[in-house]
Amino acid sequence: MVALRYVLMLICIVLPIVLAFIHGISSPRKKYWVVTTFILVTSVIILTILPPISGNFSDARRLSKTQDFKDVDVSFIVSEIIFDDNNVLITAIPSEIFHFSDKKKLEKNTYSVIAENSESIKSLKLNDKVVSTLNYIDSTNQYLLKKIVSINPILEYPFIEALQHRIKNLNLHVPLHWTSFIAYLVSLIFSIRYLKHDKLEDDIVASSAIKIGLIFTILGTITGMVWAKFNWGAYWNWDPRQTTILVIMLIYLAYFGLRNSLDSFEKKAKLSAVYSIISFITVPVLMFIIPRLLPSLHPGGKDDGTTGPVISTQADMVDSSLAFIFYLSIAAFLFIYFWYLSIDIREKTIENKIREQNV
Amino acid sequence: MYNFLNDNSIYVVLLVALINWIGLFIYLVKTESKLNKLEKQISSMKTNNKGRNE
Repeated sequence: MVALRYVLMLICIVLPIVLAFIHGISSPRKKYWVVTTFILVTSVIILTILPPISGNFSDARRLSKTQDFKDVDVSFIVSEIIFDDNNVLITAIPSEIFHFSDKKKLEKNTYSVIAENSESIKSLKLNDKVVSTLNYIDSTNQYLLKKIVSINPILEYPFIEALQHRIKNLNLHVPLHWTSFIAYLVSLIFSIRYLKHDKLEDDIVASSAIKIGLIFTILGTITGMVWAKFNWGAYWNWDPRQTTILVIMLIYLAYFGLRNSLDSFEKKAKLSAVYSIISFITVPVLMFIIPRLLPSLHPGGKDDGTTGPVISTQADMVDSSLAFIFYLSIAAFLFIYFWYLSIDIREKTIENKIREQNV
Repeated sequence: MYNFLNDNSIYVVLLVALINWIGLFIYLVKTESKLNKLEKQISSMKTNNKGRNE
């Protein structure tokens, strides 16, 4: 299962890059690119926002005893349903253990859920998977069903008390930084190619790659700040990951400072190619190494015991359904990135041609 | 506003998605204005060339 996840991850990252290079990084995008981007972005947004989050019975029980108690959505499977005059009694099996074939284990782990008789309850069938808001009743050891959130959902996001629905931000925040890493890598490749072949087109690609990559870094930082406000209490916490991403941003902003300060095109291209190569050396260090060496608010810091929220060998770190949408999201952002890149390169090429004509 | 977003965390996700969309949209607008500039330059070049030919 873990191996499958790595294969999927590789496909979602490598496929857009390979397609972009086969296609020609600066050529106009074909129709399939437009259609794929549209389908990917739409499906990622829908699959991120719509699915319910679901916890288990012990979450509902634990949290109903706390003071500022919030509702918990619990996912279970209907194994028996008895209609009374006013009430409905459901015997529920937690959906995470439903796949075990051992019937004795299933019988031991049933919970009784009571609900008021209503239209939505009547539509329930046996073996339906239900995500619903439950309250624990201490006196009878039963759970009171307040509201049905979803019946037979395709996807469920795991319930984490501190995160709530904000866990879905993972699909909209982390892939931006991964995309910007690919962007800086593309710039490195074309900078080396420029120094080798001395063609101005390669310099244009290298600078455009950084420009679009910076857009993604800045967006990732802003979305991270919004998320941080609600989870950590402040927009900016000088967390190791926040600090290093700020350093990367400054390094690559300085790239444009360098470019704009030079008049001669040859000199500009040569110096910025060298600068791009040198600055890329810092990117893996700042993005992947330093945040893991220091204690951090982000997952994957020192003493966290995991390598990160997504690239983890521990299968329980992120639900595999969540990981799947995450990889789709990376593919979507990469498709957008290479599209924007080709637009920017073509625009700069026209600009250069006009300048040559005028001289 | 903060309390509302804190209680209904799904709207934070929506906000984040909107920020992404707005960021990509700003880039679109910038490209549009740049292309307009280039088009103007090209058309002025054409009229200059015509003047030279005549």
